[in-house]
Amino acid sequence: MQLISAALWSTYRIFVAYFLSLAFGIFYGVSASSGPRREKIMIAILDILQSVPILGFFPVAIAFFVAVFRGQRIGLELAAIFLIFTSQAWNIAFGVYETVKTLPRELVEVGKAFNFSKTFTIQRIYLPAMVPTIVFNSGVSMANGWYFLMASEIITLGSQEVKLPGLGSSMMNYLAQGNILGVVMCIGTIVLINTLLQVLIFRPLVKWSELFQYNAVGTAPEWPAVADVLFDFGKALKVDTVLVKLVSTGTKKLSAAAKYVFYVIGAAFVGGLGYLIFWLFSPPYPSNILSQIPAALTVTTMRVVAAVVIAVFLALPFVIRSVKNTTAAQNIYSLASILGSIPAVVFYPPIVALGGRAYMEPLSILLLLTGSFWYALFNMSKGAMLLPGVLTEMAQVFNIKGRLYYKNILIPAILPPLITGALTAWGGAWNASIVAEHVQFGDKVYSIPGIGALLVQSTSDTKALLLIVLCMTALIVLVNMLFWRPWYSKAAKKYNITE
Amino acid sequence: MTAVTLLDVKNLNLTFKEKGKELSVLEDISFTLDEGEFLCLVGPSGSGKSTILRIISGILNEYTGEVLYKGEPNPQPNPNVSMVFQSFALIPWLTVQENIELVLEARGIAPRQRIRTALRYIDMVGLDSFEDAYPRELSGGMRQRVGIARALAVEPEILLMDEPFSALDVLTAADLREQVVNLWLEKRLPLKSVLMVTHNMEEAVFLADRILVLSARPGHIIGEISVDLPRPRDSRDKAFEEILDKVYSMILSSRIKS
Repeated sequence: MQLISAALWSTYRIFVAYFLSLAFGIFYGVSASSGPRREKIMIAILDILQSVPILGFFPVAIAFFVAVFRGQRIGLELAAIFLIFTSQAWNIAFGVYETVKTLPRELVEVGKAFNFSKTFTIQRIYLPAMVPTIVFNSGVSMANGWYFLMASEIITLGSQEVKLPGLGSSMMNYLAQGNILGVVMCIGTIVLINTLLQVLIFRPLVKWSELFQYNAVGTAPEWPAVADVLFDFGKALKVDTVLVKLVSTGTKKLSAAAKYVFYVIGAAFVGGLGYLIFWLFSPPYPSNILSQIPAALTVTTMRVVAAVVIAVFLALPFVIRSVKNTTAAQNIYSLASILGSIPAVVFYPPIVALGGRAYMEPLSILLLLTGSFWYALFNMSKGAMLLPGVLTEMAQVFNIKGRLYYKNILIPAILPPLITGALTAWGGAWNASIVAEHVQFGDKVYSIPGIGALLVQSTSDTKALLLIVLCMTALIVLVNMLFWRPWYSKAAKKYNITE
Repeated sequence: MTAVTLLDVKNLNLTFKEKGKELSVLEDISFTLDEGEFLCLVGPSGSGKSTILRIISGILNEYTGEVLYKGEPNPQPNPNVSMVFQSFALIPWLTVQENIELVLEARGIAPRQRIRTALRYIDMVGLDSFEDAYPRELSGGMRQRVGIARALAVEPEILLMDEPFSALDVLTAADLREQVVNLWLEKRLPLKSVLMVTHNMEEAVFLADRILVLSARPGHIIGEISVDLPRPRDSRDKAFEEILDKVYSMILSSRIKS
């Protein structure tokens, strides 16, 4: 009974956060693609938001919500939902932005040539065109939300720890009591919920969403019952009008007044940030921690890179399976959604305790993999699924096989999604690194050097905490800007295979 | 009897800016489209033919020059103008019937009337029993039939066609061409004039009352040929071949000059 109530609490939080993410993602994605100036600013912000290790910012966000609601339950509840939201929203926003940017020109022209009103165009062309991305990225977002469940349900307020009812906090309780059966039951429940979501909702929707692909040929997928039910619900709740409103406000040019408000908010934000940085870099310096940052960052970076490389290589065989094989790709998608939702962070402490300090190094890389492998798999198999048939047919006709095939055809053809996969895996691994390096099980503490361990050790010192998160974020954003983005745009240009 | 001028295009100019360089796409394009006329714009790729259609249909609205509809500035978009696209431009998630109903709904036509009109035009292009098929399930020729039915369903006076047959195989294209001519000749529809763009010279001679020849980069009109052949036309006719030769040599001479 307790398990069911905990499951309901967690599911409710994840879904509220998911619907907020959806609304935010559509609004932000559409808005970012509606003008070159906006695009530059908004995508840069999104890049940073996506790179910030969310776990590192949890304490800050919690402090904010708790302060606003003066420690009432609603504040804690909102803090938890916000934290889940931060693990779901960015990925949907990016997907929507990409879809709108690459919307086939003809579809837009039909709307213009046949005199569609703006609302009508949004409702009948833009929103349906977003269906495939939204369905696909929702799977990733859902898995992500469950992965961070535990962190969002246990909220530390100074020395006090508040637990919100839910599967995440139940797991922690069982773990503290040494009740392995309880932990297993909780994880079983998470797997069950996600399997049900896959079987009943996402799998049928993924198949159906193929209908919205512009250049698809062959038999049209059937209209599943879930889609009908969702449509009826949506109509009853007037979701369609809300969505149209969201998109049309997102694409609107800012009025002069709104612009000033925007500038004021921006200025206030920059001012606040400036003050924060001023405060961070004014004495007294937490010098003993500062001096440890470079070495700690280097070690963790090495672990993260190892995890990303392993994740990409592990994903490759699955990706090869899903080339031109929609069924295989859909199975991989479902499996990744279910397995990716397991909060591996939970097993981690007992396993580390079992292995002891000696095995902690490889184990920590394993944990980083659980936080990154699924992203690599998701993005890479999505790319492989959309590979044009002519390429594989050409390889068959000219009998290009083995090493030559992989080196000259397959890998280049899936290089852009492969880079996206590696990039998201990189972000995921950083996130997991925060919990991978410092573990408490029972009354024993296990720790290996690294930025995550440093972060956990300095939670009591706000200044040190912020400095560490800042350094970490700066490094991630810098690598994104100097390495991943240029590589991606180069690959996308060179290996552009859209027909 | 002088025919009424439906469209009057005057001094159309268009330049794109690309990497700081100004690229002239259209240069001083002027022509008229009369009531009851089938006009073809023929030119090589890069002559901006499709761009002219996009300006008239209201898809593009950054240009200099004038487009007059019955002596008044062409409303954008003009409800009396409709368009057939080269790549069909059907909405993949809508069935044949839904694709046609969509443009009727955008005009505020009531549901019952929409269904009736959609079915009538589906029937007219010979697609009955395919109402519930999705575009992806149809052959290229059938898809373009849907494109034509959709364009006619809004009952335009002027039909713009952007290389409507160039993505189809030869036999399908010939068949569809003939059907379009017949639909137009029957005069049962409110349709008065057709403005078609093509790079296929034989197609132009087969269909048009008048042909305007364009040159490439920048596109401008280098000549006009009227086709006074009785219909149905036969491409093996002596007179047909003579006209085709004229079009050929006009295009070739423009190439040699540039």
